[in-house]
Amino acid sequence: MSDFIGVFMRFTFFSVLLSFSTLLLVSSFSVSAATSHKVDILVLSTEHQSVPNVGISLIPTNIPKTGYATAPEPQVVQQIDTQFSPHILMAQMGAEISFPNADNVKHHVYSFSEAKKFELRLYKEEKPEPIPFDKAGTVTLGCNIHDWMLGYVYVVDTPYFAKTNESGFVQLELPAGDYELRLHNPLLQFEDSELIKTVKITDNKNITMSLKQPLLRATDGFDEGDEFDAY
Amino acid sequence: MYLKVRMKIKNLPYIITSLALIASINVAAEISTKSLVEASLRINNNETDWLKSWLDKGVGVHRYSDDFQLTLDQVLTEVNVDISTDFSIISTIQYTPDGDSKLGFNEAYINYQPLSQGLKHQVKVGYFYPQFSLENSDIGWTSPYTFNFSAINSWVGEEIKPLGFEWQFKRPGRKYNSNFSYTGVISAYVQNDGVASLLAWRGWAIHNRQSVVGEKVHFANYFQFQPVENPNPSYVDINDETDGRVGYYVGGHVQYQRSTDVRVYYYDNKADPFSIETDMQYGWRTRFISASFLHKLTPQFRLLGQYMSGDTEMGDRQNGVHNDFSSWYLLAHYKLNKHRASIRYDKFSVTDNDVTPYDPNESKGNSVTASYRYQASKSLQIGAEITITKSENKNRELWSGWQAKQDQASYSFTTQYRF
Repeated sequence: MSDFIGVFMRFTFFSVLLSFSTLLLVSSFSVSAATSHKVDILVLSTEHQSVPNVGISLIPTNIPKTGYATAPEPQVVQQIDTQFSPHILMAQMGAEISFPNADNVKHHVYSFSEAKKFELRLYKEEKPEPIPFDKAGTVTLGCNIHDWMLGYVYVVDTPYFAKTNESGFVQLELPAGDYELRLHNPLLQFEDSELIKTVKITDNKNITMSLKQPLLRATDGFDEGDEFDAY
Repeated sequence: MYLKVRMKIKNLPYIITSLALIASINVAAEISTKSLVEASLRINNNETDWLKSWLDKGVGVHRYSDDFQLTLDQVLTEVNVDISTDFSIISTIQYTPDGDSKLGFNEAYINYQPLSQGLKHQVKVGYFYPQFSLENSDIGWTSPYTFNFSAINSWVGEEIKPLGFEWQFKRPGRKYNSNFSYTGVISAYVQNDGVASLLAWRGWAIHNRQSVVGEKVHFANYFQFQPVENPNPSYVDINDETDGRVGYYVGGHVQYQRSTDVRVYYYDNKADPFSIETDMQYGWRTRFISASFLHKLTPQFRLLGQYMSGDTEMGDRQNGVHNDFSSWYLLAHYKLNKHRASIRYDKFSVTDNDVTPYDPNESKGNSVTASYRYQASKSLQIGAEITITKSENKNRELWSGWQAKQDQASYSFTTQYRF
């Protein structure tokens, strides 16, 4: 009888222990999900002016990839009013990107970039099949017919990326860990475009990225055109 | 035999298009088209009854003659056949109810435009317009600003349609992070030996009737008064090759972003002024410079202008035609939402430097065109236009009782349908 009681007690003890440890495990998971930290990043020029439309990517360096890997979201670069929209696109490595033509003229989109070489002839209002971008790097887009059309796709090997808003700000939610922060914009000069900043995230954080070199002259003036332009 | 070969060359646009169609069947070629149909209700106010259009064998300088008219001005279809990544065949088919050739091609060429990382190249082979000006940027070389073209481009659309090649090389500014783009243009061509005949006889005109390849453009019979047994026929065969010589033009474009564009060209058809065909079509040695610009003061408001000056020689100074010619225009255009308004002033002259009796070529004049159009839908534009032209053409006095100096006014309500 006492044997029976002893076995029962042991069983109960292990059950409680198991339940407790399960509870602990579950709660530790929910703690890690809840411990995403808000990271505010501000990009300032050498003249201390906010810089909009700068791509920011943060690649975790001490978190196993399985811990944060997510399926890349498909992206779109539209051709509208004989421009690429958006002018700068951030995409996770492996993302499928489509290039729909919203204009009623033909476009011939191409890239000679190492990260993705391709060409697409796009007739008026054509919606082509998306293309996978499976190599990290900068992809410069052009149009063989409208040579003022210029676009950039920054393919990054991380799900943590965004672009600064009009005030030069961007907010990302990141799990605690160490990261390599990079800036992406065609107007950045060498020291800024090649800069890799190591960032440790343990709590909510504000980061100010002050550019080391002045921005190159913007050629946004090429966006100002209309259907009467001769070409 | 020579004539036969020449006849075949004139069929080139048909051959090119047939090839394109065959290619489109055999290869996975893509065909895209853009079309424009233009029709108008017109009131033409000519000072005298005899001031008819040259297309009606008259001595006027506007396209239409009747007091009140409903006209189908033109049907234009641009056909683009992509035969590979780099090669395409581009042609424009034109239908007009007036003139000698109702149906034909106003351009037909093979276009080579390879993808490139740096300088951009484009080569055309066939019949094409030189890109002297910034006025005719709409479907089928029409103008998005006014329905009637400037005097310069009315004439370019009639007579400058050579068969040849053109190589353009461009440094696109944005690719080099520069605000300036530069383009160089070199062309060699044949079949442009009669150029400037229309300026000598009919004079400068204001209209939108482009010629098609191989067309004969007729005009008033100015030669009936000559004391010769067989006077010249009163037309110019615009694609005649009288001497086998190769002409050329060279040009340069400079663009600031997309707001300012300047183009300068020099044209010399190198024709032998003493060559003649069996149908009495002569070689005219014609040279001119053209300078044009477009400048956007604001996204809504822009100015365009062009200046052209040149000379032509046919035969000798005693019995032929030796003329200088020049013209310029200034155009202001304002666009507000779906409303577009344009006004253009043209000035033009031809100076007669030969001493040939019975063939006075002196002419001068000016013209104002005011135009309004409304974009009713994506495919429909409706508009109204007034063109008033004062011209003084000496050869009108060959007819007894006719005066050189005349005014013409044309009023139109025009509809353009695009698809």
